Amino acid sequence: MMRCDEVRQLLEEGTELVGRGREHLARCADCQAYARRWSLIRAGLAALAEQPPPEPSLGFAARLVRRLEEAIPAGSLREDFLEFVGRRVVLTGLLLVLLSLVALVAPPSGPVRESQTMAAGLGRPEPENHSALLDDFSAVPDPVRSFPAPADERQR
Amino acid sequence: MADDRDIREVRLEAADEEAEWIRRTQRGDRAAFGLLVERYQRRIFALVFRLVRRRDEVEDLAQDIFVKAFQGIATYSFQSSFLAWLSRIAVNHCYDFLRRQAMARVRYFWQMTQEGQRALEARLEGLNVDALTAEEKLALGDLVDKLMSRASAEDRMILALKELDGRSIEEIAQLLSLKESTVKVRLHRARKRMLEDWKRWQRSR
Ligand SMILES: [Zn+2]
Repeated sequence: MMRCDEVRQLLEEGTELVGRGREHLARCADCQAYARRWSLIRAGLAALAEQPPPEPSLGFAARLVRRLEEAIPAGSLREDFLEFVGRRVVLTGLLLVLLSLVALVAPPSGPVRESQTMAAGLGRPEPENHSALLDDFSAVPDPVRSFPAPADERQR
Repeated sequence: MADDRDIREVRLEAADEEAEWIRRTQRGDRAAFGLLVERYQRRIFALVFRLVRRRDEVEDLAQDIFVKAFQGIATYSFQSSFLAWLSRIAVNHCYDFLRRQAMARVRYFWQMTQEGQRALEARLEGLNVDALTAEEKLALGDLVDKLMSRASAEDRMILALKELDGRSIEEIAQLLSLKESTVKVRLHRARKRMLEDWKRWQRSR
């Protein structure tokens, strides 16, 4: 004998009752009432499902992009990176200027010439150094962390 | 045959293109993200509408969802489809919205006039479910809309995903990070509670 609960679950799922399920329904007034109610609800749900959802207004994506540019100006990896590199270039330049000034004033001997070559080395672009910098930056915690991670990543 | 291959190639190109947009977004390129938004905005609008059923709120919610996606894009690891990942953000966001809304929820039935209630019920009484008129369908939709708005955020989410958005149990399990067996149990409970609520309302006349 099937229980009311089992019969109702089948009714909800829209499974056609056969055998014992059908026997139960024929004799159980409560389940008949349930079947009737659920069929009405189901029709109501179908009516709601048919309603067309609203469309995005014209320019939705463009406005969103603009909003992102205004609301989150700093904090993206790339801008931080460029800013960091920029600062380094400026600092290196300043250092070079300073060192060449010192070189002009001081006698051309000993430790000064050494630091001059060191400075030249600093200013030279180094591709392997470049990629190491990028790696460093992806390890830096960013504003993303303050948002709950999507369930996808939480699950794994 | 040739058509099949064309379609497959187009799909492959679209997937490559999308992966490129995602990688560019991960490097902070907002314009690339705009392309992703354009591709998925209608899907997200539809999902949000079915979950919250508030036309006036859909665009704001969708906007928040895309902002969250942009801010969290670094955590997207190409393990699921981008749409699935985006949908999870949408589902979480709508769930939060519904929970907040539940605090200030309007008790629809109590607002209805006595005549309104009786008219609705008299109509349902003699209804032939297998041959509904457009007007009857509308009335039933209205009833279910009210029942949904009275349900808890959890019940609403699971009912809307199954019955309005047409998701399978498996998809719902993935979206809500639940086991399939748990989804089945919760779905049954949500339906049961909805019917009980309806009965309670009818008795309370
Ligand atoms: Zn029964």
